[in-house]
Amino acid sequence: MNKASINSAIDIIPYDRPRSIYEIQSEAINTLLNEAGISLKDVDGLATNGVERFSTVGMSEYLGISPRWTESSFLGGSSYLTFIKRAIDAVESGYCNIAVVSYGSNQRSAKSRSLGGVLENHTPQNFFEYSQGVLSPLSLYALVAQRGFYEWDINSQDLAEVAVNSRKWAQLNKKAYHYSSGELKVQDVLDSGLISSPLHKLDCCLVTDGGGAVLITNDKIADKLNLPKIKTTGFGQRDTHISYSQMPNYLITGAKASSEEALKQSGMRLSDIDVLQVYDSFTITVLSTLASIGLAEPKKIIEMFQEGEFYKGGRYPLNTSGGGLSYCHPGMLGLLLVIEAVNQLSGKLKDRQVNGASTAFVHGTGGVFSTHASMILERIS
Amino acid sequence: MELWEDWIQLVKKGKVSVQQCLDCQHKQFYPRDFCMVCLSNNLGFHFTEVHRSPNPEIFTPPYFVGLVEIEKNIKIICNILITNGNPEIGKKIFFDKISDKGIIYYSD
Repeated sequence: MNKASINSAIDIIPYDRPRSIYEIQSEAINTLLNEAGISLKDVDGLATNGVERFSTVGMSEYLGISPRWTESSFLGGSSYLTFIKRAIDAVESGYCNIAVVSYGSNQRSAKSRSLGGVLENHTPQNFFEYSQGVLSPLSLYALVAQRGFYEWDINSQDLAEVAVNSRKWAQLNKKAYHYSSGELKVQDVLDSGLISSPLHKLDCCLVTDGGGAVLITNDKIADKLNLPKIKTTGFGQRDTHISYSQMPNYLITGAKASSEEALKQSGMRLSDIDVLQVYDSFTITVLSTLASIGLAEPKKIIEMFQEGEFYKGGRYPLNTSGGGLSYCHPGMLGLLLVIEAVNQLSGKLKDRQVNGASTAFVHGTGGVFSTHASMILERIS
Repeated sequence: MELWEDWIQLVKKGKVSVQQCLDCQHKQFYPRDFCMVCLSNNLGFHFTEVHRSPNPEIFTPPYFVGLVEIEKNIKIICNILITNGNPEIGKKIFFDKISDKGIIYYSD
C-alpha cells in the first residue's frame, strides 16, 4: 500500500473584487500546484461540494481535468475534514496519486445567504421546525446556548470570551476580515444586538467570500518534489441528526465520539496536541465542542479563555486564523480549519505561528451540531 | 408527506399527538412510516427569543420559539406565549392553539 500525506494548503480570501466560486477554487488550486511544482493535468483526484449539483464534474470541467477519483458528499461544516480523509484513503489505496480538495464560496458578494436558512420543502426539519419561525440554523444554536446557560451556570459574558479570543488572533492575520477592526471587548459582544437570544450578532460567524485548496499526494511524489509531509494519524466521524427535535443530547454532541475515535487511532491524548482548530459557527459551538471532546468542564473552559490559554503563548492555541468569527466564514469553514492547521504544522505563518507546533486537532461541525468530524494531524517531515 | 399533514390536522383539533406503534406501544415523533423506539409522560422546554424574522410576512419579532417536551423524550419545536416575562426551562406549559399559517402555540 502507498503512504499518503497532506503536502500543502492555501486559503484565498478575496477582498479586491468579487469572484465566482469557480474562480476562487481555480486560483487556489493553480497557486497550490504551481508552488508544489505539479502540473494541473497530473491531478487525478478532486473533492469539492457546493459548486453546483454536479460539483466535482463542473469544477473538473472548468479546470480542464478528468479525475479518476472524486468525492462530493454534503455534510455542511464537517464535509471537508471527511474529504481530506477520503482523499488520503484514495491515494493510499491507489485510486489516484495526486488529489486536490478545494472549496470556494462567494456568498457575501452574491448575497446568497438568508437568515431563514436553506429550505427544502420535503424535509421533516422544514415541515416541523422551520415552519415555526426558527432562524435556521441560528435559533437552534441559540436553543443549545439557552440549555447550556441553564445546565452549566454560564452567561452571555462567558460566551463572549470566545469571540474576544478569535478577534485577538485575527489581528495577527492580514487575510482576516477583522484584521484592522481593533480589539473586541466582552461588552462589545453584548452591545451588538440580540439576533436570537442569547446569541448576539457578534456571537455569530461572519458571512464572507473565500475558499482554498489542499494538496494530497503519495509519499514517493512528495519526496521527489521535496514537499512537506503532514500525516492524518487519526480521524473520527459522527452524524447524529438533522431535525433539532431528534438531537440525542443538547450539550454533549457527536464531537465526543468522533474525537475519541480520532485520538485513539493516533495514540494521543488532548494533552499531546499543540494547536486546536475547532469549528466556530457561533460562540456556543466552540464551548460545546471543547466540553464534548473532554478538554475541561465548561466553567473551567471559560476560565481558560479569560487566562489566555487559547491565545498565543497559551496551552491550547485555538482558531489561530481568527476563525469563522473574525477571519472568514464562507458558508462552510471546514477546509479553512484544515488549511490553518497544515500551515501551522508547516511553520509557514509569521505573527501567529505557534512555535514548534507539530500536532493539531481539527474539528468540523455541520448542520445544527448534526455532523462531526475530528482529525489529528502530525508533521512528519 | 401525508403522515405529517395528518399530524397538523390533529393539532388543528387541539391534539398535539405522538405516533404510537400498535404492536409494541412505542411512541415516536415526528411521524414516520415505520416504528422506532420510546417511553411516556412529562413536560419541560427550552426557548429562544427571535429578534430577526425568517419571513417578515408571517413572523413579527420578537417572539419565543422553543423546544417543548410533550412527552418524555418526545420534543417539538413551536412558539411559546408567556403572560409575564420569559419562558423558563422546566416550567409546565400547555397546548394553546395553531394559527391558520400552521404555527403551533404553547402557553402558560
